Amino acid sequence: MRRKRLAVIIGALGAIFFFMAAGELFAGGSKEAASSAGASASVTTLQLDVTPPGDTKNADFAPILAKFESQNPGVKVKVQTIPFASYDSSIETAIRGGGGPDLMEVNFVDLGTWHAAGFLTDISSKMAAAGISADRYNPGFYKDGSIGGGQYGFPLDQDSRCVYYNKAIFDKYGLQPPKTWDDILSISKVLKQHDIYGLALQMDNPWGAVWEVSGNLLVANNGRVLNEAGTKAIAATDPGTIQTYTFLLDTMRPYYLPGISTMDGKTISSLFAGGKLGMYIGGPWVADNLKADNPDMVFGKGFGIALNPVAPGTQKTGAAGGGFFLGMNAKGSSQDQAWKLMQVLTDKSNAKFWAQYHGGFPVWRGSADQAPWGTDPFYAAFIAQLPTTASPVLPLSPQLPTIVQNLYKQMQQIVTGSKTVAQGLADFDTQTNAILGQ
Amino acid sequence: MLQQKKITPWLLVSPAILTLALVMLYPLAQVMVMSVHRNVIYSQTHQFVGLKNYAVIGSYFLIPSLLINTIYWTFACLVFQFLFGFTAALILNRGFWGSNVLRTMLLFPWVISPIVTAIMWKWLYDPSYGIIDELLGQPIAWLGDPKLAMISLVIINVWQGFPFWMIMTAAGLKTIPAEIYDAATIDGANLRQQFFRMTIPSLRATLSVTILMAFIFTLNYFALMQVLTQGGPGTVTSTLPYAVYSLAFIQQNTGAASALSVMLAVVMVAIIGIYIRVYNKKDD
Repeated sequence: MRRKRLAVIIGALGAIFFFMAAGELFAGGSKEAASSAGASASVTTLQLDVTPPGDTKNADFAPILAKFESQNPGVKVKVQTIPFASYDSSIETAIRGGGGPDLMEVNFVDLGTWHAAGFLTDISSKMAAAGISADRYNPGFYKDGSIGGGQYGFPLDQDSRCVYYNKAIFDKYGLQPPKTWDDILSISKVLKQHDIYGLALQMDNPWGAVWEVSGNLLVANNGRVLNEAGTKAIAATDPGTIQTYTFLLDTMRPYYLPGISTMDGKTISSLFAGGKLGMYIGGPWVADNLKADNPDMVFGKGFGIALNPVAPGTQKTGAAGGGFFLGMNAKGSSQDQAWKLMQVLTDKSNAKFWAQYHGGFPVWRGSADQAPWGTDPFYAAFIAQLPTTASPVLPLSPQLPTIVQNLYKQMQQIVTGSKTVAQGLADFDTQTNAILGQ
Repeated sequence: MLQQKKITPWLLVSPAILTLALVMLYPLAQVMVMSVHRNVIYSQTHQFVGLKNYAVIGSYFLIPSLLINTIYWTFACLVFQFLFGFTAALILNRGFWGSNVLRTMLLFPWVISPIVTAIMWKWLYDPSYGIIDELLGQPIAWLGDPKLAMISLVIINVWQGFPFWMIMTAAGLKTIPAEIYDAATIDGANLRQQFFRMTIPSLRATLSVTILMAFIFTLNYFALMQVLTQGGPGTVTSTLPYAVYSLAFIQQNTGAASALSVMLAVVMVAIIGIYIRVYNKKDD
């Protein structure tokens, strides 16, 4: 009898201990909030999630946050930096789990998805109440955050891409920066004779493949992979798209590096800096990578930058662009405080900070004319390219990640010769149409 | 009194059982619930759809190639891990000067984390900077060539996994008494006969457990695909576990991903069940 009682007591204690531990483990809310509930002066902690800076020299949030905190006693801001590769899944998992940050950077390609998932607060009414006008921003990129009549974030920065050409190689072989796609081909043919590659494609991830290189040519050539409404994939029948991918993945194939179908950006910039690659399409952030690989790789000496070559179909230049928005977690518990912080972070005085943080350009109208951009010849081509910069895959639908993934998989198979351009684009249309109805 | 004896052990282990239930059964149940709901990241509703996710997976056009890739990956890794691990164990079991040091060195691949292994081999395979192509004297797109990508991943997994086979086999070899080999030699059995008639049967239990564990590890393994090839080029290195990840986190369709993972779990349990049954029959 005694043993039975002892066993029951031990078992009961064990179960109680277990449930207490489980409760502690899975309790929602912030410990700080819980403890603050009992404290006489409660402290609200706002969490701001960001991706790592492109430029670590201009990545200090402290002055901005110190100013905000001094103006808002009782509110603290915690900045969490999440690696880019896991940023989206980290935020999505956190918010779906009932938590997540109060404010977060939103990669513009996620705007459609996160809006549809209910992650983002519609700030249009808050903007109206605060007298904030959309006119303060460059119109093109700002509109990416305007969905269904609402506004789901403020743009933080925007980028563009141009052609980097290796000046030493070009001077050595008497080459001029490419002005047309045919120039890219002829330059690549010349360089191949000297065991140098002409152009490289970043193909180690879907966004690199679609945005970093092919997207620029797609925009220039008015190529569309989706119809205007975003309800149907049309890559296999769109002349601009067919011409773009035929040139990039078929005509240029003999002049690419081995392993091009999984080539990563770091290898590409190393090859460029090391004199093994003649041309490379990328944004301003590429310059830092080049200099890290080779101190002689500075603008004007090691490399030059030119506008993207005009496309044969349109006789126009173009570039793939994007950037980050600042969004508010619709499920955050401190919406009012978060809105105050949002206004401070996106104030004109911080436009330069965000642009330098991401290695892009400021989004306020006319703001790219200021130093360092307007006064540094390095940025001249990018600033000139900004008006012709757009997303290569429009509209920004909720299924955009899957659409880009489908296009990427087909691009890999086309560039390795496993499929023809026609087959690859047709398969893309079939796969994408299957999910567009969801 | 007898009833007390029956209940007491269960009460004592109940906290451990409840913990296991929480970390194993609850997620499993959650996945099964998700598999019958329409769960896409951009949908705010989680609609019950019955077996529709399973039907979608079943008719998914990539399923045949995913199955082929998974079978190829699993069996190629198991066969070569076994060959290398078993051979290493046999050689080391003979005992020679430096065998202990060699055994320790051969364990290194196994103790390195999969992500570090992937990054290390990514550089080894690099066509521009990798030492492998440097030694071969020509650039080969190991991870970028559809014909070579999967075998390149198999090589990495064999390199990393054979020490497991080596350790398990070596432990099994230690349990075989040396006297039986002496007796066999006296009886005139040659080395080949001793190996196939004595060593292999003696190792049967060890090898069957090792095969089972290695099968489960290898089938579920997707770190290399995620880090090195993202299932590409195209889909040549996409296996079923990678497809689960891709559906859940790239296509953000957790309903379909859950359905696929349930199907994968059922298939694995079935294979393991058949294997155990065959093994037990042989035992009888």
